[in-house]
Amino acid sequence: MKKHLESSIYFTEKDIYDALMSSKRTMTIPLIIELARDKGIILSSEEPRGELVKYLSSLLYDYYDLNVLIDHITPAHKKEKSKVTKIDTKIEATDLKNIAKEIANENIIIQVNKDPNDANKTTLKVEYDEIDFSKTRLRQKVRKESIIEITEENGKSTISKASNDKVDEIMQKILEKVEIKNNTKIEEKKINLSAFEHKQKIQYFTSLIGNIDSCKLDDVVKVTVNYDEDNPEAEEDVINLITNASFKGKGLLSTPEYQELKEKGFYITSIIWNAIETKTNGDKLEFEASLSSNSNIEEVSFAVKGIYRFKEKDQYTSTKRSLKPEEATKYTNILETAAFKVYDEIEKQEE
Amino acid sequence: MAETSNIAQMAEKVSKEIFSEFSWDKVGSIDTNWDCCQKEKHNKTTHPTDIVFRYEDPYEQKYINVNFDLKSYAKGSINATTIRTALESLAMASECTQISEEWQNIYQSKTMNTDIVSSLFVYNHDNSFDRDFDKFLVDATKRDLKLASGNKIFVFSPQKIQYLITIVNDIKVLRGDEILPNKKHYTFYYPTLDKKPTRNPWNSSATIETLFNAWQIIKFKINPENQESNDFGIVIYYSKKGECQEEFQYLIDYLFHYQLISQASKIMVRVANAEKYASTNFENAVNEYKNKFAPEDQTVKKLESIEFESITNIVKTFSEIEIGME
Repeated sequence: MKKHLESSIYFTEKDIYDALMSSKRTMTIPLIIELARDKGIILSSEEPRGELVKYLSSLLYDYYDLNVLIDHITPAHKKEKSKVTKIDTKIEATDLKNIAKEIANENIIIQVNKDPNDANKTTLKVEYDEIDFSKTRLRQKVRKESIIEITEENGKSTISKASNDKVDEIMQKILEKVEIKNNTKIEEKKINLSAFEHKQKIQYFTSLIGNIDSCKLDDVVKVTVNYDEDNPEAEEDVINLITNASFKGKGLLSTPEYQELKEKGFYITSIIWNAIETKTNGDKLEFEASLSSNSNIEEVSFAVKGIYRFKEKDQYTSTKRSLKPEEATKYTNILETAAFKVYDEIEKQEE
Repeated sequence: MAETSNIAQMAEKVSKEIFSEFSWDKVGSIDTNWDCCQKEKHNKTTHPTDIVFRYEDPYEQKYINVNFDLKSYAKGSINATTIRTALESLAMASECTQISEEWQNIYQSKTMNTDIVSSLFVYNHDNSFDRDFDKFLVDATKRDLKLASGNKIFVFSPQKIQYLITIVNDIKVLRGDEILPNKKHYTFYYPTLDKKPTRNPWNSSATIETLFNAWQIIKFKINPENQESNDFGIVIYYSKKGECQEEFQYLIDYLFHYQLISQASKIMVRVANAEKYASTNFENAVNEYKNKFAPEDQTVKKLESIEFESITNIVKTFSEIEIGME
């Protein structure tokens, strides 16, 4: 049946106004002023927020402006984390193309592309609809796009993808089809900490934060710790029990509170930290690594949560900004490389 | 007074060769220094105004006056610091325009409400399309500019100016070829917003915001001689490169949303900075839409009739005048 929609995705002044007004936390006055500045318009920071929003929403938004806006009003914690795995197989781009065709349907579009700048890299752009009617219109109709990146090196492939069920399911299907095609069993190596002892889990996270290439650790801003009763290292005399605790602050790993819980057998399940680019006038980035348990697997997922832009020496923007797409790709790669490097090192110690 | 005459010459050119085509009127005198009204706060005795333009707001009964600071430079002769200095000075002048009796006597209408905005016009006279400019502007505004509440500064970058010169030239060509009618039979198009219609549907100037949008739309009468005829066409000037299909899909969405696809008899899309695949991307976007309708639907024919053209980016030596950044 042919649809008779006059307009399908155009966002009116009102849609934009509603979305901006309801994003008080992310759409700060300095950010509104920055967005207008990027259009060539300089506004006054002394203006009330409501007036600035009214003006900003009266401007015309093109496709690119709108994407920037949606990106900024999507809360950082809702941004997808990524996972990285390795397989001992090379997957040919042409095979991927054929497999993608088999998997695609009305709701899922998969586009396979070779990276023109990196012969070893193949990207799968997966598109699907996600609708959330509880949101204002601008946030409701989100056509989700997710990139699966497959990088080949010496006959092995590294797969980087969003940590969500839909994408996991698609990648699983792809690997199954590659298995059939190549008639081999594919072992997907994950960053799985389930076999690690508690102190190794702690070691994993504390080494990772200092191992980000071309960045220097600035500080840990949030850490979540867990305690499980079955742990033989745990103290036996605990009656009143905390099983999970989160800390926010400065220099967290050196605080007596954290140290005490560590002594008691708590281990890290999630960590958020800042690192500063080592280049001149480098920006400050915020990274996250967190453990999620699913049946027998404790897989670590990762996120580059945002960037504090360099202002002057030792000064950065006070609010966290979204990364540009090329920055996000670059730092996700750097983070994931470190993630496997640290994992391999700890695994080796075990042997 | 070499620099004074440079400013005056430049102001005349800017007026004649750019803004008059957007139906802006030059008001008051050119290249004027007027008394600062906050001498202690600003630590200045006077503020300069190079030229002021005026246009009527399309929705409300008021004028917008645009107070200009004109600069013209050769590539390499400006940086973030010089732009910062120019903006700081203009921010102070802008604050005084709002309250200066002297300024308002020279430039402001006595009969109609007026909003005042300011503009920094930065022309790159060796036409090297200074791509560093955007980066300079970002660096120049990293620290808050301390612009007083109620003020706005519009920065016409070298690339923006080049784009405006290109479309002004194209409008003249279309008029010459009689594709566009006489000036009084076309207007800049503004949609009815939130039940708020435009005041002069056939006589709206381009607003300054329009010039900073990704596209500008001119609405023209197809049968200007026939008073009865409501037949109209539109020309869409598109400033982006057309790098992906989605950007054109969004443009078409806009046209659908304001019923321009169904109501305009002729639709032209003219892209000033088109990249290699712009027309292919446009075609794909149109096809995407056509699939939503039955093949015999009028909308399909309308979509197919959209004329897409990449217009030559006129590298015209607009002015070789140098107006330095102190």
